[in-house]
Amino acid sequence: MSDASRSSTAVAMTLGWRFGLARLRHRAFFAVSGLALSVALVGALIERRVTSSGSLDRTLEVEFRLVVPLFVFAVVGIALGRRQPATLVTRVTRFGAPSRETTLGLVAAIVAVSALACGVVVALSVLVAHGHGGASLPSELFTATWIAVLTGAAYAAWYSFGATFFRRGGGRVVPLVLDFVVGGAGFAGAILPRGNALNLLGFDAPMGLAQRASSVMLVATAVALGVGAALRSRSPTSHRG
Amino acid sequence: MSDRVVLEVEGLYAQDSAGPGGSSRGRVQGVRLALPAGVYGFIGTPEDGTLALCEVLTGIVRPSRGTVRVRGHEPYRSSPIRARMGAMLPVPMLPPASTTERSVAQAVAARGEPASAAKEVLASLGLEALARRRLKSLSFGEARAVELALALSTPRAVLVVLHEPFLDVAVDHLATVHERIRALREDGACIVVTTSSAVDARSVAEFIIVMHAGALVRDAPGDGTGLVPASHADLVLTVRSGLRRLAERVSRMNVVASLSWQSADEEDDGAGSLRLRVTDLERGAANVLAAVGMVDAEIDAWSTSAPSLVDVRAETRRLHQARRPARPAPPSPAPPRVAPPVADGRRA
Repeated sequence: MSDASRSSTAVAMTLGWRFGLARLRHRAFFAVSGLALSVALVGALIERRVTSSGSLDRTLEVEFRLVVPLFVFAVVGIALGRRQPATLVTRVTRFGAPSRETTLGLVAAIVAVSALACGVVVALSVLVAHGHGGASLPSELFTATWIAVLTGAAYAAWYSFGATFFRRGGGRVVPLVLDFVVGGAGFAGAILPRGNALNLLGFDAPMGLAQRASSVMLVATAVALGVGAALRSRSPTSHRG
Repeated sequence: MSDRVVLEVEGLYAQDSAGPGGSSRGRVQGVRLALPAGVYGFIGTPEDGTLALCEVLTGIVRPSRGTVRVRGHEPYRSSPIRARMGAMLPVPMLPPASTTERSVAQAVAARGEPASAAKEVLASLGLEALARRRLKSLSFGEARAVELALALSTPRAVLVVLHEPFLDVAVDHLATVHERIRALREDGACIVVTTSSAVDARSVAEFIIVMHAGALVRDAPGDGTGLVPASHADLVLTVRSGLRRLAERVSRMNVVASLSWQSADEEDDGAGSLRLRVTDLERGAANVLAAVGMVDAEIDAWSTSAPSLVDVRAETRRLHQARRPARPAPPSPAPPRVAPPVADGRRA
């Protein structure tokens, strides 16, 4: 790759990254984040009040089964709107930025923001839900937060990749439905974020996967599907009647 | 002057999404083009496919069928060729950013220029005041002006597509736009202007192409000759004095089909403008000149006005009707058989 090509790639990815951040610097994102945080904290409070023993485990189970997947789905929806990533970045690629690299930057921004937001929501929940027994607060806080970051990133990559299918990006619903229906166990659980996240939290391991393998799977799917979304974004689609 | 083809379109089918809910307002069907450098005005309404043509030529959308090539490259696939194409779209599509200058900086960075070129782009059309404005606060006309500035400042441009560049655009001096178009043309660019105004097309284009129902139906030189018959010519006179006397005199001429006038001052017979539709342009012009002398009126200027799109479409329909082969007349029905009456008046 020549210097000019490298420069063009770097510029395109930077433009895509900025594009993604600009899309998420929006009232809707803050509203959805507030809602997710409220639901998580209220749930944590309730669990703590019922009985403080095991309250953290119950809180995290609910959050990773319900709050995290839906929160990230909403974030990706805000970032992409009702469009495929390639169509969305037309505002930049029409001036000459390569489509794939720009989309990669866009997806990277969505994945990063989703991961960070999930980390914050879960971290605050841990602070509220932590009760008697179990590991110390700092240890639980660190563990739950990095699991949330990895899981949020994986979900964002899945939904972004799904959005490259069907008109208006409707394909992002498919991984959401699959994750809820079959994502907890078996082969689907081994590749979808739900099963791997629950494994890292100490719940059932899909296909007997080791926790380290689940970590690797979350990272690998975040990277592979993010790149996959970019590779599928070579050019805009034509309008159909 | 190079005759090398810049824009090549073959069997093109495409549609826009400008209608409600993303539906289509118009489409192009089976369009074929091979254009060298020059300025081309495509006249038509959105329903005739001007929006669809604009979007597909710029690579914003992929054609449903057929190909578009700019210097041999398809715009929707080739980012290097898109970097050398300027576009002013029906609805502005600027990169999202907090301020106008940052948005323009992203656009110029995408086409390989330094971000500092953004200031020069805005200054080229006198839009410096918009630089620090929030992008979302720009009106439709202002956003179009920014997009026009970006299009006309495309470095080493090969194709520039402008949709209604003189309509609803917040530029103080449209003469600057004309100058920039001429400069791009001299540098070898192919400039495509899509518009529903024959006036705008005539003001800038070297060739005019009429669109109708998704097809390119006919063409004309840039001065609009032949768009409508000479019998539909309009003369517009700017009268300094003697408006009413002149109007009375020309109203009696057979060559004048209709006229209207507007006084510029309170005097009935003072200054104003007089608009005449004449059945023959040359005879009409000669007769009007003679009338000016007879009534001792004074005129400052006169011109022929460009035909309206309604007139152009009417002429297009007329030409299509004239070209359509005449249908054979249906056979006349056989006359009914009536028996002759018998001698006493009763029928057999």
